[in-house]
Amino acid sequence: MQLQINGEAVQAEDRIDVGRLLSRLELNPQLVVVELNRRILTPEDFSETALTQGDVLEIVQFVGGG
Amino acid sequence: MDNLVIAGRSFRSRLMIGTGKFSSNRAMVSAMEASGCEIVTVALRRVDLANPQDSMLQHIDRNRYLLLPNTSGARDAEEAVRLARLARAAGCEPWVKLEVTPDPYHLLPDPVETLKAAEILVKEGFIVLPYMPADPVLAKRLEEAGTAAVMPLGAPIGTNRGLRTRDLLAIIIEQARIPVVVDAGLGAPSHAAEAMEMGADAVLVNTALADTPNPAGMSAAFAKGVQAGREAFLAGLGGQRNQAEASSPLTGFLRNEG
Repeated sequence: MQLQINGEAVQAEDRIDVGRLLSRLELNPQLVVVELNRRILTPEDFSETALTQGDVLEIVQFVGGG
Repeated sequence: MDNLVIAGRSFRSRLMIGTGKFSSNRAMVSAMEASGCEIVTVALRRVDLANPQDSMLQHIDRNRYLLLPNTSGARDAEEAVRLARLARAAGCEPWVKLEVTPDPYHLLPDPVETLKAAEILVKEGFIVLPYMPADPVLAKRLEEAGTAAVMPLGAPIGTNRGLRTRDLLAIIIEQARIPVVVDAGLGAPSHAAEAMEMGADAVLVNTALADTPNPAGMSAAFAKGVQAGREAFLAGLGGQRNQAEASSPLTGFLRNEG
């Protein structure tokens, strides 16, 4: 299935959950924030949230800034 | 130096630091340590999926520094509120440096959208520190909306040009019943000292500390500037006058008068 992550089309396996997606992307779930279809997820949600075709995700992290 | 109190929380340092533009995480940490700061700003950005970077958070001791996430990049109130909520979801305390800068050239804050976002975020329980134009009327409106401080600009972000808004800052400081943090444009320790001498409660500096061969050295210098300015303000500056007023006695000269 196809997801949109950070504005880009990404292919992912069917019914993957957010926790597994993050590990596929080699991202530390402690250090990112995930928004799914404009709804902010808490880290406890990650493994319980299955993704479906066309879901829109934003994955953000802190960077240096003033 | 007396403590800075924002939203009931006490800080020994009156110098806040932005973490942008440093050549490395090591340079950033050296600046933080040398400055004695207790509050550091950070930004939120999309992860680069093709090239995930180490998180800079791993280099910041969260027990020692309060993270103040900014909403940089927001072009209107809605985007700013979204960024603030994301930052809180990242496990930060609900402090936010509210920043709404639709114009990428001057990066001047949008007063209308900033006030709108501040009202929403205060209602949601955030401790809001808005970056704002040096407008005394807006400062009062933000204070009435319940912001924990105001952060008027000295000069546009990253310009190092000092207190170009000096006269307006003086009015904001005189009227404010919440801390005034002069933010943006401070390029030298003397600029920071000047803001503190005027009675600003704190300053926030980034570019001047990052854009130097020696971030730790410059941060230590800024810390001294802030401290000197604060101590001068507390001691009370002498008045200015146009005509000279002798410091030495005007009697007993080695000549016969008359």
